[in-house]
Amino acid sequence: MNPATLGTDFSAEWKLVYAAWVIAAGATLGAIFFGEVMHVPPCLLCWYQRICMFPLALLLPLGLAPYDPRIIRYALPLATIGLGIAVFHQLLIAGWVPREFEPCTRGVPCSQTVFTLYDVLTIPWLSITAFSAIVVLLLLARARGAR
Amino acid sequence: MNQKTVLRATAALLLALFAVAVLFHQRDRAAANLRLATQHGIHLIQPHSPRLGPDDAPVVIVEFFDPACVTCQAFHEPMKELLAQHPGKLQLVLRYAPFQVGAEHIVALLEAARLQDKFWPALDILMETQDAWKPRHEADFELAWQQLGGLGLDLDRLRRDMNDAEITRRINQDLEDAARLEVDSTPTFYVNGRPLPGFGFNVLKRAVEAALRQGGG
Repeated sequence: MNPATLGTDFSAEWKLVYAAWVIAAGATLGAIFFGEVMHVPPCLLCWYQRICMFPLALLLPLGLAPYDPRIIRYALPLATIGLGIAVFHQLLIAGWVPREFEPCTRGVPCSQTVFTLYDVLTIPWLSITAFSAIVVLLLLARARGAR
Repeated sequence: MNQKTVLRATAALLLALFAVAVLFHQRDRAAANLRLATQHGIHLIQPHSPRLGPDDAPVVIVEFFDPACVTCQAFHEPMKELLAQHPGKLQLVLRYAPFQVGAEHIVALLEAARLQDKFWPALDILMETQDAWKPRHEADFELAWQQLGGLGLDLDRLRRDMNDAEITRRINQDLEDAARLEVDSTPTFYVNGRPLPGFGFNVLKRAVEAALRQGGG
């Protein structure tokens, strides 16, 4: 890399990872808002999704200034696993996964939707949307980097 | 413009949006709490609620309280100081919100002590010794009961009275009122029927002092 462009190179690849970070940071702040401000208690599966989302908000910017393409390699597994948990969560709510898979614990059952925005937007759907967007953006960035 | 500037600006923007959302939410929440507290048919005070201070006090503080909650414990001594600073002007009314594990048994213990006219001394001791009867963050009734030995209570009667159906009814009534007022954490305070604008002992103190000024105290 030319030292003159170090830190000022806004390639398409950089922009894709940057967009992924904006989504991760927005999702992280959103989760904190639901939990700490609105006091919607997070269920167990929500916690596992948080475990995948929160590090993305912190790690992605570290790979962006200066740009380090290896950040994709570190971030993709988090985003993919998070997406998997979010999909499982939604299947549980939709009733596709038998409820017996989920033991009853003190606290919030994962199969119950506590919060609904405009009738359709539930927190698990927001999670699926955010994780899939991050996965797609990172995959696109990787494809561009490989060229 | 370099990459770092863009990242910093984005982070600042996101945090600012978050702060604005928090402010809006708190404003809505405060308005909703006030509506609930003044709504007809929801009771901030029940006839059975324990009171400390004169009935004609110009300022009434209602506290939704959990004996097993550490923050309630932390507020206990400052509350007594506040009451002592304004003798005759303040009345404290306790409502039970036993949200912690096992806390309803501690409330029952207090209500049983009340039948022997030792409610407030028993509360003082249980607040002082909260650490001792809350191993692993769960209220242990047996350990709490043991703390009350020095009060001259009939301890056997205390154990019998605890299971009184009237005590269970009071706890359930308070929990029901808490749910209708959307009280979901303890301690939650109301000063002369109005919820506090925020949380903290200083917020409470300011609200009490403002109410005293308004009430000619």
